[in-house]
Amino acid sequence: MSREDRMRIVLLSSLQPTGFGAVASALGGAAGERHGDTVLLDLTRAAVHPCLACGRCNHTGRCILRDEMTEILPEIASCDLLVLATPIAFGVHDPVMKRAVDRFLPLAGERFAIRHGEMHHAPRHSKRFDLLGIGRLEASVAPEEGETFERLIGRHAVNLACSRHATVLLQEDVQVKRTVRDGLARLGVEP
Amino acid sequence: MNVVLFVGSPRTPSNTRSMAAFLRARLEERAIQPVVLDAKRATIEETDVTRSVDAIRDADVLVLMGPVYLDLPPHLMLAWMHAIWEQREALSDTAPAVYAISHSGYFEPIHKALSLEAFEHFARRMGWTWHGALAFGGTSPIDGKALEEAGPFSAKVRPALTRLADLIVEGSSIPSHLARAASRRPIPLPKRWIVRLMNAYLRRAAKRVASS
Repeated sequence: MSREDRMRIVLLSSLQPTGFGAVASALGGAAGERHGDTVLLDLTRAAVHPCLACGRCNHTGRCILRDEMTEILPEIASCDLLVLATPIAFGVHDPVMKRAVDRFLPLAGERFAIRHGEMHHAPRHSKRFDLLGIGRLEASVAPEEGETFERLIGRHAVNLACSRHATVLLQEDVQVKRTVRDGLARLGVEP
Repeated sequence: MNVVLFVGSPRTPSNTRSMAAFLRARLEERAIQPVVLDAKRATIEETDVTRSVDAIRDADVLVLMGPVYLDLPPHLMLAWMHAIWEQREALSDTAPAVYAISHSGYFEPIHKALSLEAFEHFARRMGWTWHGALAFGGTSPIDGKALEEAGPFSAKVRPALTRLADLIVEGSSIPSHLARAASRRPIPLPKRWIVRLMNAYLRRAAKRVASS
């Protein structure tokens, strides 16, 4: 496969460093650095400001904040696969991941349109990427929270106008590689 | 009765704050002085957590109120919930009844559904009693105004919050018919017409932003 044909992957992870490293490794990249066409961002170490909800990006497509999230948004808009790896808290992203996800707002276009029979912002980017959600579910947490997380990734896929989506749940770190590969397989991606 | 309202919006002006002010007034009419927890910024700091724990320790009722960004409460609100979860031992003798309110510019209830699920998971993990939720759609044109001045865009919100004040006093859960009525679109027009109206609103907002 030529470089041009290689899949462009963006991984955003709020898992603790060992989990981030394991997911990055399973995706074929080296944790903590840009590796070929894989962009990896460890959100537990990155400088990401919370969204101010100023609404300017809605009109301009650009965020007024300048940080690592600003730099990675164009990578997301042009990627083939976006991977969100997070501990599950109350059935959804942990606050560290949500801080980054709130900053996705510039990806949405200014105007509303009807998509999937629902009102949505039309996407600003023309490229359609796949979405893989990886949620770490603590053993003590009710399984219903995992079900909520699966629905969340499905909703993100609609909101971000993704082509396809899949969700996998990590129960223990030792299963990371197999679980990630299972998720990739569901999207028809060969790791 | 001790009632705590948590306002989880990083925005100014804020529709969440408009709703909190309206609910506060209805509670005060019923001789309840609620404590309003409002960070008024995009981040939660240690002092916010300390104040929240002190307020919740004495609370009979906690009302979580916030907007929806990408199907979920904003970072600010999840960070606050996480911080309260971290303080669960300090709150082990407390079990407030929890109500929640989510709102967004999208009028379909599905956009708010996961936000409400997150609130319910939070309440259950804390061991608190879940008393249900209200979800309001099409709220963007309220634009931080007092609900009384927001015309048809707050027409579903005002009666629902007034009824919520009664339910809080009674200690009752939100009945499904009230939740359904609250979630109906504020203007009974076909979706395509609403999209056109919202796009017209956005064009006006864009001009305002450009001139500011």
